[in-house]
Amino acid sequence: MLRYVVERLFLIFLTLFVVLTINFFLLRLMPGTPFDNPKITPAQKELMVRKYGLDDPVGVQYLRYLNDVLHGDFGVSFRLQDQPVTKLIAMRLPHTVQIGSMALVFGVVVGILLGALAAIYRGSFWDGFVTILAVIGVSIPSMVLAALLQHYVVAEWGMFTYLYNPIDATRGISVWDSLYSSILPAFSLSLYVISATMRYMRSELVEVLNSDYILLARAKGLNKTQVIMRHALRNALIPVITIVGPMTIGLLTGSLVIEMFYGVPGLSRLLLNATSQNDYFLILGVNVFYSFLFVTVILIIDLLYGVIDPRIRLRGGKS
Amino acid sequence: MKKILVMLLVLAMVFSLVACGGNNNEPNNAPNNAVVNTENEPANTGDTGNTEEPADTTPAEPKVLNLLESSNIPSLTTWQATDSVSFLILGNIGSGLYTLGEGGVPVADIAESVDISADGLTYTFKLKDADWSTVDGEVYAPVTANDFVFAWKKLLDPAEASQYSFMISTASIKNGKEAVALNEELIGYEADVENLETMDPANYEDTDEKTAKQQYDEAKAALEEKIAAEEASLTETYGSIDAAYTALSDLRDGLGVTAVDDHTLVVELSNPVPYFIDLMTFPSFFPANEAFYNEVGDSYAKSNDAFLYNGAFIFKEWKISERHYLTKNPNYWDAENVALDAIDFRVIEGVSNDTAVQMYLDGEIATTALSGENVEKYGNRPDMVPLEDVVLFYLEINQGKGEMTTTKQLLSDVRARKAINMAIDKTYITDVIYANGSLPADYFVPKGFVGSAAHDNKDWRQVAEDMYGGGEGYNHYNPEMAAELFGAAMADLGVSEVEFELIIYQGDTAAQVGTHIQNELEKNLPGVTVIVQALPFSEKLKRSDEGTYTLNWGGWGPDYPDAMTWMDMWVTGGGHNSTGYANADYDAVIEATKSGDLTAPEKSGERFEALVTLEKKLLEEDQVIVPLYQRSGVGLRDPRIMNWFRQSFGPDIIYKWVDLAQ
Amino acid sequence: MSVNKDKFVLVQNKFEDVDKIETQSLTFWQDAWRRLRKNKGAMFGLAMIFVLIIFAIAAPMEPFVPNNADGTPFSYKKAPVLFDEEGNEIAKEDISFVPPRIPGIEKLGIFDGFTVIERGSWDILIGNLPKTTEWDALKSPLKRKDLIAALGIPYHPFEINFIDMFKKDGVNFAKVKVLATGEIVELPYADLISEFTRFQDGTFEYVSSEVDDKGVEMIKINADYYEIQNIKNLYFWFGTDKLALDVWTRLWTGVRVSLLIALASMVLDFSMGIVYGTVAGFYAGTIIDTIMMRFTEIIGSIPMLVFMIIMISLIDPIETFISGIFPNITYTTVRLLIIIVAMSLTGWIGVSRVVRAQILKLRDQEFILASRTLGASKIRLMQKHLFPNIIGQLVVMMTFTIPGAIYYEAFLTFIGMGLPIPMASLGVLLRDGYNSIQTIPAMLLIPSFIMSLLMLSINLLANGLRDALDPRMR
Repeated sequence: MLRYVVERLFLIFLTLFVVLTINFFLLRLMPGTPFDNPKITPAQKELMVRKYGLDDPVGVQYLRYLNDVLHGDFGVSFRLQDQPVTKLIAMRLPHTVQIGSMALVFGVVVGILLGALAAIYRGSFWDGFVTILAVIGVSIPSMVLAALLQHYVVAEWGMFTYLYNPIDATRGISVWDSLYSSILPAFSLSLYVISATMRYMRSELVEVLNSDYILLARAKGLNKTQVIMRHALRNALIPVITIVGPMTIGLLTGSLVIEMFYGVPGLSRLLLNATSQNDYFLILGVNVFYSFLFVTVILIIDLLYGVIDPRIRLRGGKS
Repeated sequence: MKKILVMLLVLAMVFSLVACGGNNNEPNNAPNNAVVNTENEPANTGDTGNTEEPADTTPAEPKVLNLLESSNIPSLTTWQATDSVSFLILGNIGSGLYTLGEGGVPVADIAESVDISADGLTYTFKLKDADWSTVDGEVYAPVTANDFVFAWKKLLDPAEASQYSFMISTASIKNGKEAVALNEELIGYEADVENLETMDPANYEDTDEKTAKQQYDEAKAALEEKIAAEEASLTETYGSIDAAYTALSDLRDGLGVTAVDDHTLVVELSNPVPYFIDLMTFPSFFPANEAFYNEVGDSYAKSNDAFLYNGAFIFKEWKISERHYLTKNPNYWDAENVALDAIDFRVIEGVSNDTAVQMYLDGEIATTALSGENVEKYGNRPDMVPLEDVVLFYLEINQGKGEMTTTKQLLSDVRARKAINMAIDKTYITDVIYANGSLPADYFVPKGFVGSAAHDNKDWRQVAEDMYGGGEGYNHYNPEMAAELFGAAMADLGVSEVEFELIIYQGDTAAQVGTHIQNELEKNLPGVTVIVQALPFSEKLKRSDEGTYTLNWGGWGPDYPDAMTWMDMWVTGGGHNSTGYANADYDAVIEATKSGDLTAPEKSGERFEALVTLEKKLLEEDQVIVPLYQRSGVGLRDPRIMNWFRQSFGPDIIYKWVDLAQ
Repeated sequence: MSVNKDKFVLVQNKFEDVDKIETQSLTFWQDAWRRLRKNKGAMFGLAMIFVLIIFAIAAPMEPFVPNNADGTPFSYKKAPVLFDEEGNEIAKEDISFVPPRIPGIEKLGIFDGFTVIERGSWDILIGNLPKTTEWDALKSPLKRKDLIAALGIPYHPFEINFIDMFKKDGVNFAKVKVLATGEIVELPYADLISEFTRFQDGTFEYVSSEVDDKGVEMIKINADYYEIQNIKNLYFWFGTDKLALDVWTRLWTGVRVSLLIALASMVLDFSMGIVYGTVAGFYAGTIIDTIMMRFTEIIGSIPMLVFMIIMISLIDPIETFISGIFPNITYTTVRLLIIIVAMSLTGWIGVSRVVRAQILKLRDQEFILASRTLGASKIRLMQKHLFPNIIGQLVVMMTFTIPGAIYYEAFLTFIGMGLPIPMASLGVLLRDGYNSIQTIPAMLLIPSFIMSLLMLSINLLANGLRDALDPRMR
């Protein structure tokens, strides 16, 4: 087990290294410099490029950057007052996490409940209803949903808020205000989570309910509620956990539209701005961070799954 | 029964979740309902500042202005800032010799008095007693003449690579102007030398006429010749290349600005600059404290506590992407005349206009601009304010920059260029697409931008009207004439079909304007196909620099209040001239009005007329560009706000003047 | 009760019938189709997809689209050229930005050229004054008396509040409250307005009026845009946008383009993913597989936006390269290709993972082993055994990819990286509609509805396919 983890950690390290390298060189293929501004003359731009050492051969710059990274320095943003990239990411992350985690919790809970409902009453009206709901949930594009929610729910009905409000004591925005303002963005994000969880939960629970041990439990005289509560739900939930990981990554990295509509100062927005301004180190930083999230979450799931399901652990140990 | 139990359980859980969301309803409705936000902490930051208590028994509510900002601050260092957000903040937390008042008139800020020599070449400023304040409102040191010298020299410091060093050149400060020019020359030379080293025959391909080798040799010879010429010119002036570098650093050190004593600053100019005092309001010319700069080192201006404040406000809280919070500076020399206690910017990147308007209507912010549909919906409310602007949008016509093509050849014919201007219905852009009071333009120097004292303070456009009937510009919309001119130009060249590449920025309205221009040109000019290319910012800039375009949509806002900021864009080989337009007569007039004999103070009227005539040449005779529209806007503003003076250059608003009626 | 014995016949035991299969033998696809047909949702989806595709193909073409004055059909990129009764060309301004209006259906109260808008009372009663200094001066709050005198109206809009409007003897009357005196006055609406307002008598129905927090009266009206713009004889089925382009034509062209992009990127995703996944699956456990899988992670980390910006900057060489193979390639097509390639940049990775996992699973199964023992070549193994076993799942995945791709195109448009101008797509229409939501919500609602319907139909079909092709998931 330990060896497996060490091996995986090594692979993670290797992957991140390669991601960093590829992205570093790829970004230099982008046209222009971080200092493009129609007002300034080419000579001034050239001076700026020299100041940040961007005129050195790319290989030299790469080694320099790599050296910095090994010392924990991911460079500075050229377009935001030379602020360290790590600081900028650290400032943005909490907002993305706040919205994302709300969406995840809400989505998974509702998804599991609806999925269970559909499985228990399989073939009934409720089953069909929930299935249709799930399909509709994934069929409404998020920008349409966000636009309609803002126009009708907020503007016409006066419920919830237009914008996400970060917690700010001096402005009088408490944790609760902030959470309240996160409801619409989180809801918009959670539709996909609900649909996916629900579908998964339903099929898992159906399979469990058809299994022999449930039959046995029923035969032993337990009533249906007890069987579902004690045996079936718990067993059906295990596989559902596996899709939570990828969904978490999706929520943390794929919320750009929602961030744009609700004014969330999140990571995706930062990446978009950095990309349009050729802010190399910032793009690189956010990207490597995304890759880091991706590989670690996958690792955690694999480990967790091993803990939950002994069969997997055995297989993992072998490889 | 059991079924129902399970179902109830499930439903209960779902509803409990929904209810959780609903419970938090109340706290949100309470705050932020008023522009004057009483819940904010009291704005006085120092306890010693105001000893004068109001006569009333109850102290007045703090006056807080809530505003919306859609971008972050790229730089707070005066010699690094290049954008409007930075300038807005800097212009209010710092102060220079002058600041902009009502109607864009410079008002003395730290300058107590100024003595201008008769030839207009030496300015002697006496400074007021003013202090630097820390973020906590403590006095750090007095503002001295030396602080100006320090900050201005930073603009030229090669280690700082200041992008706005051209402001020194614009102000024609002695040795500074020469240093900027020499620097450009040397960098151009270095770049050429480097290009020569990295030239590779592999980058050339055989064509029908020439082999790769031939092309490479030609290009190499041309470059070598260029370098030799540059070397010769430098050697002639300075003796050798190395001497030129020494000369550059001497020029930098010898910048014509000196601190005679703590309260006297002397500035020497290379030639008279009619708008020199106006320039002193620009944040690039603000002072900085050298001792503090050395004390905080690298972190200078990277956070609000690594900065000193000598302006009307202190940057109390700087949360990137969330909040810019300015409070009144108790140590500002004119603090008693600053009405606002705080300015609270909510920072939301790329906020939609609908949201901003809604925030205004809900009282969360004190003013907002209107765009798109909202202009129509709210444009005639009593709290509507016009937002007049002096930014002009135009199409650059490529008449020969870059590799020659048939299209460029066609456009080097002035008839074809005039036809393009006459073929576009600009009113449609301003009245239907923008519908926000923007003005269709056949002119280049915007309305309401600059007047002439020698012409009874008449506006530029009025003078143009009096002189040439060009109040509304030249070569107006006339599709029939356009088709005729264009047809003639095409016939002379012997082509029947051409393809135009129109490059624009990415964006909704840009796309609409681009499509409109495409429709108009294809409809009114026979044989034209227009390809609209929406490009990322850097790519568009690159294309215009290289000259690989036909029509380039651009916009220009002034850097200083003189028509020169517009007119000198089109000099031969100018950094902003990507049209390939080269006209010695044009250059001569620019030379005379910029640094030649027309700059003398007594010739201001003559100079003004020379520039008006030059605009006529630029448009009516040569049609170098196609002006499209002068941007303008409308907004909503809380009627209680007073003295809100929008400025046409530098910081948008000087909040020092702004007051809130109670 | 008695039962007639004759009704019973003894069935003989026929031994030879035991092995006989009574029902018709079904292939895999026949069986799947049988199951799919039973799925109402999937059939609805399939039918809707057909309808939408037919519309997408036919609607922008003659004779299903209105015609310009010269007889040519409306185009998605050119404003219509139409003549009024006197034969003069109608100005582009007059036919720009009008709500949907469909003959026949308009009688039902929808698609009738009306739209509910909210306007300040000044807009309704006075409108936009000419831009002259005299009129500008009169706008000042201190000159209210002079203004109403100059316009010849009884009240300044800020001095009255609307209470109601009604029809009396065929004349529209307004019931207003005079704020200064508090009295309630009824007078013909026509007397209340200036000549400059767009909202002349008979161009709208009054809905309600509200004084907001800032003391400004906002009046909600149901405005007849065709009457206001004086084009009552025209019908724009889905309205027009600000450039006077016909939305009906643009919408269906847009559906066409969106579907085309989605299909193209799907083909790209799957052809690459299948090949890559198969190879990786075959070498599973070896170093080749490890490298290949790490490679996908790296490709997955390339930021799509950066990739697109680079591609756009390389568009000239790309265009030259492609025109070497296909002459006459246009800039628009190349931009389109770039979007498709950018969308597939990471899309194929998921496919290759699934293919690899399936092959891994199947590889160790007995029937493969049997076939291999019998000497089947690798190619034969793939063709005859592996591929047929994963095709079902692939078809399901393919179907699920399409709505994703349609959404992705819209997403790219929203962040400003979308289609070349003036091309239409669902994303472009959504964005335009979003900008018009205040005035003509139909501009957003129609493309939203079509896009949601399209995605819903494909999702329903995909769901059905999954149930039909992949019985375990039921």
